[in-house]
Amino acid sequence: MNDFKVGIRHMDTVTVFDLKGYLDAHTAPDLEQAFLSAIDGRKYNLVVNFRDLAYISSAGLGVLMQFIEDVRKNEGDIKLSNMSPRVFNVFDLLGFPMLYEIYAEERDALEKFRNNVTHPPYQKPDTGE
Amino acid sequence: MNVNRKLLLLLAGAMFGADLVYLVARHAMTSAPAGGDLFHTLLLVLGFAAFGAWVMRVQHHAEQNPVQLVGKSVIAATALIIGIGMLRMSSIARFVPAGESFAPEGITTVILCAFLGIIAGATAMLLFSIHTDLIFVKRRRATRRNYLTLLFLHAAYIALYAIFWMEGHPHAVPLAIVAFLLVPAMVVNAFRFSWILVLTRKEKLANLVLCFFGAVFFIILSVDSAVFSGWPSGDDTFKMVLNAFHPAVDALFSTVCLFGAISMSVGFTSTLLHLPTAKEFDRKKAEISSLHNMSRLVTEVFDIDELLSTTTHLAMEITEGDGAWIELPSRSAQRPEEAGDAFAVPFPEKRSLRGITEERLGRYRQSGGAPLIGLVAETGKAVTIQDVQRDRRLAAREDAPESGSLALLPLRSHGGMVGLLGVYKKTPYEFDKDVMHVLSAFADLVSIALENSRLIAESLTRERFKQELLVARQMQRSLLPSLLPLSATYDIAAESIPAYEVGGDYFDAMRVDGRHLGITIGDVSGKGVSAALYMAQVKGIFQSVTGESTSTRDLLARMNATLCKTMDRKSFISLLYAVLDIETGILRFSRAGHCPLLYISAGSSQYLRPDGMGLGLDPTDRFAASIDEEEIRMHSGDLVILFTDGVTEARDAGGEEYQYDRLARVAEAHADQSPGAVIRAIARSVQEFTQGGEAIDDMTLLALRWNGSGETSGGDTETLLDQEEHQHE
Repeated sequence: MNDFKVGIRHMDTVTVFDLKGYLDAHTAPDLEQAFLSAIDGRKYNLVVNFRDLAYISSAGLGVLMQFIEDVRKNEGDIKLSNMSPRVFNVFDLLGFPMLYEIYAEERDALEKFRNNVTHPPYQKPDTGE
Repeated sequence: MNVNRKLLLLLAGAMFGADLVYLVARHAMTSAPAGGDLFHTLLLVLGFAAFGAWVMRVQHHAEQNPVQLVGKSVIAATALIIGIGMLRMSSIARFVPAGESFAPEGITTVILCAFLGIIAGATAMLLFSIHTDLIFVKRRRATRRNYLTLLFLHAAYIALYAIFWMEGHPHAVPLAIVAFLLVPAMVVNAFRFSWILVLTRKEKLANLVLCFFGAVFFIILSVDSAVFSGWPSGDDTFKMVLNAFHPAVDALFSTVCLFGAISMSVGFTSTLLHLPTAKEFDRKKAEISSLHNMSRLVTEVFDIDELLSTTTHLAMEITEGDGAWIELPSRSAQRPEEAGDAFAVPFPEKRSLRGITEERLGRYRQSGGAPLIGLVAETGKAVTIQDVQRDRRLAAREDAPESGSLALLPLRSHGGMVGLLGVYKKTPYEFDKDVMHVLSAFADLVSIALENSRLIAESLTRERFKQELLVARQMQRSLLPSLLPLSATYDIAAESIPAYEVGGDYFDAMRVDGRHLGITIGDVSGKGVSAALYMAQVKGIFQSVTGESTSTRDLLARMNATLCKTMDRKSFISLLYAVLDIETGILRFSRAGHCPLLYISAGSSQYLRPDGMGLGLDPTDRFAASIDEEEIRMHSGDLVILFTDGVTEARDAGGEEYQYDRLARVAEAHADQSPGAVIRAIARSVQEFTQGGEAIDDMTLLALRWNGSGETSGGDTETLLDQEEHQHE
């Protein structure tokens, strides 16, 4: 079976999830657990780093949708970073860039949390299409 | 069988009765000496043969406990001693000398002799039968041969004794030879008492006492018989009674008593020898039967609570422990399950105690305060605590004055520890190496049983999932159209190939009005029944709102508004909706997060991808604002292909995706064929590509060819990238 791993890092007030491998209907519950543990710990400033993610299915996107409302209600956000063109394409097709802040680099996302900028300018990365 | 038995008894009675009549008649007619004559002997032999057969039958049909048989034998011996004693003290039997011998004094004595003789003979036969059964409790190859030898020698001795007695030489040499052979035969047969070994300790004790009394009584009877055998001295009433009746009965009686004395002595001695090991033997026996029970239990694992309860019960039985418990800690304390298996069922968090209270168990902690399970978890090996008061690994507790010992055994699965089996005894130093060996084997069996129980739970989940899959697949099938509306101006074809785990692919095409054909393709996030349910909802909305507007953006906005009310937060739907003007060939479409549309005109292809977010992601106006509407003016022969990501994301064995480029190339290559042929070509190409890989998602394709309406044919292909809403003219 395809492997998937979630690493959790704490950067100041921000919790960073490092995703690795294949995120599909079978592995989505692992990501769900990771989000739940963060939210249980009242951590709402979340960054998902997609650097090592090879594949994401709609179930993976569903996990983000599941938590975004709660997180934003608590004045936090889920920001996304370091997507490969292939992964970005999946997000882009579904119009996620309209719903989430997507950054080329993790530090940009962290920076935004630090500056508490609510509506950062969105730049469309190269999709490779 | 019953009739047979009764017949035998009846026959014996008849013979004895006839004999009695004969004896009385003989007494009345002649003054011949008492004892046997041919006719009397014949009647007696027949009578005892019938009786013996009856006894054998009755006795053999009852599967009797050997100790009970010994008991019966002791009762019979006691009765004989009392009976003989009473006879000797009384003076009812009177004899007069008759030549060298003697004769009963009167008819009363004759009848008494016959009566007592028959009782003595019958009792002797009964005793012999009991001892026969004792011999056959543990039958070996030689048992029967030895027994038959004994039987033959016995019969020979009795016959010879009777013959020689009647001839007046009761101590002849042949008789002595047979007697000399008979005694070893008795000893050999008595040594077949190996059933003593398997008796429980209690039974052994009972047997020891019974055999002791049996041996003493039979020795008394034998010695008595030997002392008074100097017949015809005529100084013992009992002997006179027997011999006056028939000397063979006397012989039978004395040999049976001797056999009783020998076998009871042997029984007593071997019981005594086995007594020191009796306790150990009992434990081994309990171990074996417990392990046997446990191996049966391995298959009875549908109820985990029952399994745990039986486990503690057996653990106590094996060790004769005072308490046992089993702990299955929570999943986090167990080994993590292999990632990626959606059906993996962890061991449940459970505790089951027997004979020991939570309160007492709580007193036993490691010296650091950590729970006992840690002791075993460290090494993964069994741990023995021989004295709970002195062991340094345990925390010293002033409130735990009772002594005792503990055995802690790990329960393993896939090399990892999943729990703990513990046994408690009130006395220290109870868990020696032997006990721990057996307990370890037992713990391994418990581990297997637990693993089986978990696997069963897992396969049940799998089975349930399979059923759900079947339902979902049927639902999905029934939701997809089987017929697509046709017209001379266009050709249309579609196909949906479900993956093993049904995804949520959906397509449909229907006439919106006399002039427009609505086409949709979509992909519901998630899988199984929930995906199929959302799909049904999409179909319903699609069919009900399609006629209301030809604006594809409008339709998607309405669909979003309706879906957002019912869909859960993590679900969404990607959808592409297109409307074809079947008179002009103008195709307008919008995309809600779905894959782009592939448009092929004059042999070259392009992906058209107007903006638009997925359905169910945002309930606000932001959704409608995100949707663009695009228009293509189709020319004769132009082809439009709608698809789901199952096509472009199909992966080969190396994990490589099929991708948009391949799809475009294959579509271009087959663009001159019918829509059905194009779809088949693409599907074939994808299947060739994924050879060896796995189909993880549904794959749906819909192709539409514009045949031209006459007025529009011949014009240039033009794609309008119009961002504004177009009203139908």
